[in-house]
Amino acid sequence: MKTHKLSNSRRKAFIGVIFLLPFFIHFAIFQIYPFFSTLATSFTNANLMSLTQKFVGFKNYVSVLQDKLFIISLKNTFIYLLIDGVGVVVFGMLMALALNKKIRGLSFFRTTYYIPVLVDWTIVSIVFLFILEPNFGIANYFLRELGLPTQKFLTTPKQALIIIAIASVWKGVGYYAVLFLAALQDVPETLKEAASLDGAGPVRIFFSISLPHMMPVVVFVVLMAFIGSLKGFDQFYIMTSGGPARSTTTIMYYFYEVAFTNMNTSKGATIAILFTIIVLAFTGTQRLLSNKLSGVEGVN
Amino acid sequence: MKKSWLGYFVTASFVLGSCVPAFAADGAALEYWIAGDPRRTPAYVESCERFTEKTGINVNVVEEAGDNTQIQQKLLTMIASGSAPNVIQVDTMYVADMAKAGIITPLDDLPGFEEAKSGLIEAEVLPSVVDGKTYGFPIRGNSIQLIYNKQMFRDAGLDPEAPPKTLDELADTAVKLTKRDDDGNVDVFGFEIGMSTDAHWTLHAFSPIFWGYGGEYQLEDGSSGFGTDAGVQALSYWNKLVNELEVSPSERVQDGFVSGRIAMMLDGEWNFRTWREEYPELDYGVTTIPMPSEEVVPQIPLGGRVCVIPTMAEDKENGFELIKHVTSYDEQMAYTKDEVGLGVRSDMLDDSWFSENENYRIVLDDMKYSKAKAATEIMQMDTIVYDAIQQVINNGADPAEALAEADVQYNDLLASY
Amino acid sequence: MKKKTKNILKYLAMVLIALICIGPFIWLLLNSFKPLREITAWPPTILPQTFTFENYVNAWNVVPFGRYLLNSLFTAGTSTLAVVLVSCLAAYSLVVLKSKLSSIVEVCILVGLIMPTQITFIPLFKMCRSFGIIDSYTGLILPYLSSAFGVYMMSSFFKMLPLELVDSARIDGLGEFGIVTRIIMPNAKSGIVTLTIFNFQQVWKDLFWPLLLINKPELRTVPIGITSFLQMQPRHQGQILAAAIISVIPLLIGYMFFQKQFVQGTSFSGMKM
Repeated sequence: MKTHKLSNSRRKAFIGVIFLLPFFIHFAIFQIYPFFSTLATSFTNANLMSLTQKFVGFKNYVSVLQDKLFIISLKNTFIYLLIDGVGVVVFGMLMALALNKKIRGLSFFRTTYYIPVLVDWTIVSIVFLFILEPNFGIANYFLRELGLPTQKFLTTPKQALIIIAIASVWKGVGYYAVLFLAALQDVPETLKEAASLDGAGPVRIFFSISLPHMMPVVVFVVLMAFIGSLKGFDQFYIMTSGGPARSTTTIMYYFYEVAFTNMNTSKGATIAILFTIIVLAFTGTQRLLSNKLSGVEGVN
Repeated sequence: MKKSWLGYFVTASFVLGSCVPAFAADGAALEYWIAGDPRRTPAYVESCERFTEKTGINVNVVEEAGDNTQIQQKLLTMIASGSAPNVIQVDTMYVADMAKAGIITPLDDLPGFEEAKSGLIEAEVLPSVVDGKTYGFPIRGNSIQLIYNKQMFRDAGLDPEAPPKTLDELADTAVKLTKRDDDGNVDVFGFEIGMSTDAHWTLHAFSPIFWGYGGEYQLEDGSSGFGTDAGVQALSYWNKLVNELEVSPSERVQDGFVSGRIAMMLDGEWNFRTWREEYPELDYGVTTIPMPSEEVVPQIPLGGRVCVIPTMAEDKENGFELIKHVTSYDEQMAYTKDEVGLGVRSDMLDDSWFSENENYRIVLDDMKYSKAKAATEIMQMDTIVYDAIQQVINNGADPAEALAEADVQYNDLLASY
Repeated sequence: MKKKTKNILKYLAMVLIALICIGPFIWLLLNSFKPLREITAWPPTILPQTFTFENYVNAWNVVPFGRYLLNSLFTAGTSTLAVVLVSCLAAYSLVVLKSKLSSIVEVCILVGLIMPTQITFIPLFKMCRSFGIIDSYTGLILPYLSSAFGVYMMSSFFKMLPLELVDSARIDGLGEFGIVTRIIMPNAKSGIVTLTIFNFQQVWKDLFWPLLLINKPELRTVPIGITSFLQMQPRHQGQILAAAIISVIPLLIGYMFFQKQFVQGTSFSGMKM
């Protein structure tokens, strides 16, 4: 690597730019432009129902930050993130380890574990609503047959958010398992065998060989998992519409409600921008932490 | 490997591309957006074919998929970017806001307006009237009724031909119809108040009771009217049914009525066809929603679709011709008979079809009680009040306090408007 | 002996997880074969008492699913192909070549990962209108042609590849493009397959953009088909369940097909030599 940096470096830099261009141009048109257009909107009083708009400065930001519902949605998002974000990473890793064995029927298990990921939230929500129907769903039917107290599930503020978070772990875990699995399979067998010969047990091998080797992927996956939970929307939209009593109103749901149901484009844009800032701060912190952690990155 | 995939997709793109039939050949065709579901579309398409036969004007019917919010969003996005169909069916509740925003055009000056309007039930047109101008004609209307299972009435020793007329009677009847197992779990709910995860539907079910107690969304000075006695009484009534008497679920049960888990509910004519086809033995009755006392004249929230013409649309005259066609007697009767939505003409009641279809007759007759769900920023108002209702029903809050909070929020919103 | 019991336990655990994963769908599948009145019956029946394909037949008749499936396949397939290629080139440039644009692109990627896609729709729609590609496959596919996630993911995979591969390829006289397509991509097969699955699925399930852009029924995608059933008043639970199953099957078949590639891809990987 070092030697190449000196020779041919200008040609390489040129090709480097060429290779980035398809992505960069497309991204600039389809993401950056809309982003700045959103940023601009957040300083206006734009409303889908009116054809004119004017500049209002930071008025939207002040009103959003004073908005009780915005604070509630922040809190809900954070609770959801804790359960879902942590859940998928931990269980995803465990699942990947289970699947990284040469056993009979492995392909069957892999496919099965991935099914919840493949199926769209719309459908998953239909299924869950169907099963967890508070009075006559199959879940409560079994509870009744067993003589246990029936549960209100998604219709009580005490359970709704936690149930959706658990459902999200259930649905998302296969996705992260696949990422972890791909990384696990790239850990050289020889290293593990050597460690095994030295008398290391499977737990030891995992922590001292596999995990450090997988670190770039782990950092990536944790980031994706957290961003994924922060951006979660469909489940809240279809299963509870943010209720009952606002217990499942997360930031993304609130954004949708403001921008699309209430058609307050400018306030919606403001929430989106604030959300982006929050996530950026969050990922920034996480990056700092992981940079400290991954002194191991240079293992190759 | 990669190359063969690429080849495959390029070929597929040509094949698929060539399968897309061209838009109606001449550019003169009207574009007519209908709020679709696959069951209703054929009836509307046939109706437009009759229009083309009559006038020689082609109509390109576009069935919109998606929920109310999504359709509205799409429409407004199109308008914001400078294009619009000639005629659109929109939900009744959006018309006033769209009119105020100048997105849709008043119909008053278009040829034949008065005559066309006179045939329609007045209460159904009213929500489309803003500052004395009419911005749309209803194409289908609905009102909600109390729908009850006659067999369950008989089983409980009640007279199926004498459904409850007041809210007290409704509560008593609901108690009698509710069945519990040995552990106290409910097997059959006597009544379903109609609360669901959909804020707008919940308000739809809440409004007749609220209005019945004398409430109004906005007081005379324009401020929020939910924290009034009427609001507290109505919400306390709901709370009593769900949490005290435990005769109603706090959320609508999917197919609860047809499967015999709900004895009475508030619902509309859109179910009748499916019930006849799928549950021919279901013996149900339809009656006007009970009010606090028999003296109170019922006010029922009006629902349905309205045909409007966007300000930006070209060829407004022909667009209006289409609106006149779809609201004409023959077409309205055709929709009614196809059961794709009840017509909204006052002269339809005399049609012999209604004497054979008693339930539809009751619904059509009830339309005289129709009251528009009209208020400033109605969509957000719905959400605000819905939050208060949920706080009470699901979270044990006090009705008066929750509604007072709703007042504060709605007044804030009104102030910023 | 001890190993055997351990193995049995392991299997039991795996079967249990499998049941948790697909249990709800089995319930869905079972119900999709019941007539409506049995789906809504109380107490519920577990196995269909009357077995019927009625829901499927009706769902297929109400909505032209064949056409919708083709549209979804085409949209998701084409864009995924582009995303894989574009992402690999960009990731190679970021990881190996490094240029002045790199740091800008890295910031872009982060923003792209975070930004809620919904906010882009209004400006995007205006843009598509001025390009005149509303109601066309072009408009349907165009916004999906690159993915910040894809570049980020491929970079993570490329970082794990030994750089000697690149060096020896250069010595063999291969150009940079050739290195990406003939050396890097085959060696990162597991990453590519993973990205393919993720991206395909992402585009496949997207509802909002097609809903906004498409008016012609011939251009509709599968999620719009499902929405049609949710829109019907009253809802027909049986048809909804059947439609749900119909929409899942192609993804399932696709996944099973790719999964084979996935296993082979990693075991033939050049890194293990």
